[in-house]
Amino acid sequence: MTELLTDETAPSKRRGWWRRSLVPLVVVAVTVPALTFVVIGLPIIDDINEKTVFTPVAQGDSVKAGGYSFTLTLSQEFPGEGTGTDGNQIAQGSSLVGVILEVRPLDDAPPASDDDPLYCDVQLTSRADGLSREWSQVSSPSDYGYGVGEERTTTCSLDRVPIDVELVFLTPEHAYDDATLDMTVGSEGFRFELVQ
Amino acid sequence: MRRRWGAIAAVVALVATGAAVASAPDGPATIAPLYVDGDVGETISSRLLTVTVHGAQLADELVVKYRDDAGDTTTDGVWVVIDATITMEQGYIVLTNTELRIGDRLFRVSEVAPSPSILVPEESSGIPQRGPFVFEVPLSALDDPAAAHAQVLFNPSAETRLDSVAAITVDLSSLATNPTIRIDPPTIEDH
Repeated sequence: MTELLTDETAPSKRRGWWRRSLVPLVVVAVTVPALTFVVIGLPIIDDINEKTVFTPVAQGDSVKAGGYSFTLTLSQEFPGEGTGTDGNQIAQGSSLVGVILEVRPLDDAPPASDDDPLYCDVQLTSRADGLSREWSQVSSPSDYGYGVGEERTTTCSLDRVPIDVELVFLTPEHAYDDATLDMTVGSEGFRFELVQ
Repeated sequence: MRRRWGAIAAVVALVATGAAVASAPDGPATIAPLYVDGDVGETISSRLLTVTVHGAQLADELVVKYRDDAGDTTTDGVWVVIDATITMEQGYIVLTNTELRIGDRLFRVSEVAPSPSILVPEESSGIPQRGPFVFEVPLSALDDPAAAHAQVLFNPSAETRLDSVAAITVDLSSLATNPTIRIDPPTIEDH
């Protein structure tokens, strides 16, 4: 008798519980996704917005940004043969990478300003083997027996003057094969292929 | 019957919660750096840095010949000179936050060695660079029994919370103090 009553009343009891719990359930259904979005989603969106998106540039192509054109005209790896008397001042297992970037002002280049000089920011980068690596220019290429061309500069300053920038990086040997030159001008980013 | 099971479940949950709270690390420990321990001669990798300490020396005075403008290199205490090779694994870091821990005392690495210094290495990921890390410590620090297992903490930045940090143990208790030690600029290692 008791079982019979339980079976008959169970569905209505369940419906009653859902009805009584409707408001808290709706609150949970709304707040949990909202909190998840605020705690996890928003930082991810911020991170994506802050990151410069680099546009790939094929070998030999030019790009225009900030009133200038930029062309990677030459790049080469110089493998280390050791720092001893028989070497080339570059440690074995390391390489110097030289890159020449041709910078030409366009008609719409902004006027040069001593107060707020314009530069392009450059780094050698690699994403080989799932490992993100970057290399900045060496401070003194001559320490590694590298001579920068007389007509070239090592600073990518944008002064409405045509320049050839010679950039020198110290990398592990063979990093060159997968490396690219990342250049940022203002908020624009470009990823140049090296000469292979 | 159902009530009894409910009561048992509540008690179990309460006990489990109590055990979890009791065994959880306290405030500072929950955000402490994750030290990767090693010894002299051992190569240790943290998230951003691979380090090998080759040895330690003590000196009354440092001799810096590669720069004429090196400052005062004498000390009322003693210089601890750690010879180490570092390799940056990804991006660029400076090592001016490196510390020497003797017991409860922490000594920040000295910037007495002029540029070029291993504290501001060449910006080259994956390239081993070797040079001296210099610490100025009072003589009393070496009398501490903890000097036998001092640690060099290669902090990759001032903010090391929950980051991995290479911690190399060195024995400073049995070292003789040299009158002078020559400090050389960092070198790129063949590898």
